[in-house]
Formats: sequence, structure tokens, C-alpha cells
Amino acid sequence: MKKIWIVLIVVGVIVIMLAGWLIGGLNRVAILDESVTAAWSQVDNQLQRRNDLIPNLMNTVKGYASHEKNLFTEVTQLRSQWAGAATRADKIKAAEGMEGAISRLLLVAENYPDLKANQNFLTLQAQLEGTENRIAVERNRYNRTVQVFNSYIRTIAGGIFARLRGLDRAAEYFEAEAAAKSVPKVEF
Amino acid sequence: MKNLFNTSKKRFLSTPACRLGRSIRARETFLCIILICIFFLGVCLPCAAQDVVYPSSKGYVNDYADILSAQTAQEIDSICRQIETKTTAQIALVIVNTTKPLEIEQYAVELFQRWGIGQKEKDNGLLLLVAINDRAVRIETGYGLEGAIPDAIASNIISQTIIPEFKQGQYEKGLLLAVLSVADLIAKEYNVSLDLNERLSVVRPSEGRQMSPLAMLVYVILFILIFGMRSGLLFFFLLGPTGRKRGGYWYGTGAGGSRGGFSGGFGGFGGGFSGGGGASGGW
Repeated sequence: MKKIWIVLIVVGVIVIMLAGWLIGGLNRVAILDESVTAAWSQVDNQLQRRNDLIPNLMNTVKGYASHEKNLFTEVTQLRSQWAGAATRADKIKAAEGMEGAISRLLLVAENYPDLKANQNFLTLQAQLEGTENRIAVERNRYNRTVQVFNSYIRTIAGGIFARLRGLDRAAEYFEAEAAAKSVPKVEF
Repeated sequence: MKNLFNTSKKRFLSTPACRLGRSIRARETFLCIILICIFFLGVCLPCAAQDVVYPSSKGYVNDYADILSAQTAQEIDSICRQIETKTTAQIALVIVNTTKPLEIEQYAVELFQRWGIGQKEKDNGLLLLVAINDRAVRIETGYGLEGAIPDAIASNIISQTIIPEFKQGQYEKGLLLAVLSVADLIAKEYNVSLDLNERLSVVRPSEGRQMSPLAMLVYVILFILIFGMRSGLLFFFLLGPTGRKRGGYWYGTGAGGSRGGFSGGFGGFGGGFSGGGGASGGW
């Protein structure tokens, strides 16, 4: 009689521990996934902010360098690409393209000393630098959450839990721009 | 039949051979468990690969390069203290020799986060970071102060208040003016007014007014003389009988029981966050 009770209690404890482990794991996947989403929305915010600064910058540059038409059309195209981007991967690509275009816009300004001294341009430049820094910071934080999430769903137990909850798709990192690796062309 | 089985089992269990076997097995299992635990500990211990050493916070003014005089440090401390008491915003001034291997922007954000400058719920912190050997300066604003001090204004403060002074080697004056500008903006944002010595307000930057170097020199000398006098008097007052109003002389916060900006009384930073906003500059 006693033996049966002991066995039952032991089995009961084991079941409770297993259940706790299971619930904990399933919860963890959801929490990590949510943190990735939250971090991404911060990145999105800052990218949108930069996007909104672009028209002002372009108009100021246009006032001095109106013949750089190719660049302006490219920037406009990139803006519509960003507006049309739906998935995270699309947005990342659009943002990377935008970065290259902005650096080229600023490079154009290097050739026009009047533009460089324009107060409006200086303010915009300060705002852009600030936004770029913010983007860098949020990207960093986003990548960190992605790392935690991706590592977790790659572990044995984590992978199982992720599959159970349907969250087993790895999140994409916001990687360094391919555009930055290519040297912007300066046309005289 | 049952009896036979029981006794034979009991007898077997008590034989020396079986006991030895059991104890060996028990020790083996025990060792295994220990080894597994050590293994997991070794794997789970976080390997702290920290190349950058961040200084610890000492208060509002953290001069790790020893370029501020005690008086200027005290001045800036009082301004920051007043700002925190009146608006809960926290200003931190940090002077280091270098931020390498990081860029000043990265270093500033990390430091901001580690110290948690600003109140947790409001993120109203501001970090003024100077890297003397790198000749770089940065104003880093917390989320909550980005409205009061947007990037363009921070950039302005750096290029028009700090850099000109730094180029002439006037680090103390530059930093004091910068802290004043920042404090002004914060005070305006929160709709409070700062009690500042009128002599000091003369040294404040104002748009478009060009002071001749001689006039500035005169003001700076007066400034230093007045400081000297004031601190001397303050010291005297502190030594006096307890009936006197303490700390209400200089930048007194006036709140009951406060020790009026001399030393101590810094409660630590509130855990605020920064998103990378602000501006940098170099000289």
C-alpha cells in the first residue's frame, strides 16, 4: 500500500515538473518573439523618421544643385519603395538602399560651398546625423533581440517549443548595408 | 513461498558483497552528478569579454580627466541638482580621456544605458560627454528630452558654445556655459525657473552678442573672485550655529533639510533610457 503511494507521488512530482518546463518553454518562445517585434517597431520608427527628413533635404540640395536629376529621381524611387514595403525583409532592403542615396546626396553638397553654409542645410544635416545614430542604436538593440530569439529556437528544447507554437521561423538580422560597401561615385 | 523470497532478498541485501557494490554504484552516480553540474556551470557561466571599461558614476559631475577645478565642478553640480529637484531631469557631465576603441556615439549610448541617466518612467536624462584626448564631445539626450533638446539644437550648443571655448583651451568655461544652456532649455520645457547668480548670467551665451575678449576676461576674473568669496562665506556659514539657513545662499534649492549643493546628497541616477539622440562635435 505504502509503495503505491510513493510511486504515485514521485510520478506526480515528475509530471508537475515536466508541465512546468513545458509551459515555461512555450512562454519563453512567445516572449522572445514579442521582444523581437517590439525592437523592430523601434527600428521602423527611426527609419520612418529618416524617410520624412528626405524631402526637405532634397529640396534644399535642389536649390543649389538642380542638375543632379538622376540622384533626385533615384531618391524619389527609393522613397516609394519604402512606402510600398510590407514585410520586414522588404523594409530592410529599402532602408539599405536609402542609406546609399542619402550619403550620395550629402556628398553632392560637398561640391557646393554655398549649400554647405546654408543654415537650413546645416540643420538638416544635424537632424540626419541624429537620426542615423538613432537608427544605429535601435538596429543594434534589434539585432541583439534577434540573436537571443534565433539562438533559443535553435536549441533542442527551444526548437520543439517553437514548432509547437508555430514561431519557429528565424528572424532576419538587420545587416550592414551592401550600399555602404560600395564607394559612392562623385560626378563632376 | 513468499517468506522464503523475502528472507533470501533481505539476506542478500545485507551481504558484504552487495553492500560494497551498492556503495560503489552510489559513489559513481554521485560523481556523475557532480561532473554534470560542473559541466553545465562551465557552459552556462557567461564569458564576460569586456574590452571597454566604463567608469562608475560619482554624481552629476564625473571628471575622470581632472580638467575641472573644484569650484567649476561645484557650480555645475549645483545647476544639475537644481534641475533635478525642480524638474526631475538628470544631467550628467562625464569627462574621460578617451572613448576608444568605441566611437564617442557608441560609448555615450552604452554609458547612458549603464548609468540609467534620467527617471525611469520619463527617460529625461542628458549626458554631456567629453573625450579630451580624442578631442570629441557629445550631447546625448534621453527619449524624454528629445523634444526640449532636438538634435539640431544640441548640435548648435556644441558648435557655438562648446567648440569655440574648447579651441581656446577654456574647457571649464565651455562646459559651464553648455550646462547652463542645457539647463535653460530643460527649465523652459518644464516651465520652471532657475535661481542663478546674476553675475553668472552675464557669462551666459546670448544670440548675436559679441563680447570683446577684454570684456570676457574681466567677467571671468570677476566670476572667479566672486566664487572664491562666496565659497569662503558659505563655509563660514556652515560652521555657524544651526539657527542659520543652510545652503540657501548660493544655488539654494530651498527645500527643507537639503544640504544645499555643497557635497553629498546625490541619490543616484533613475534608470532612464536613451535612443541615440543628440549631437557630437570635435575640435
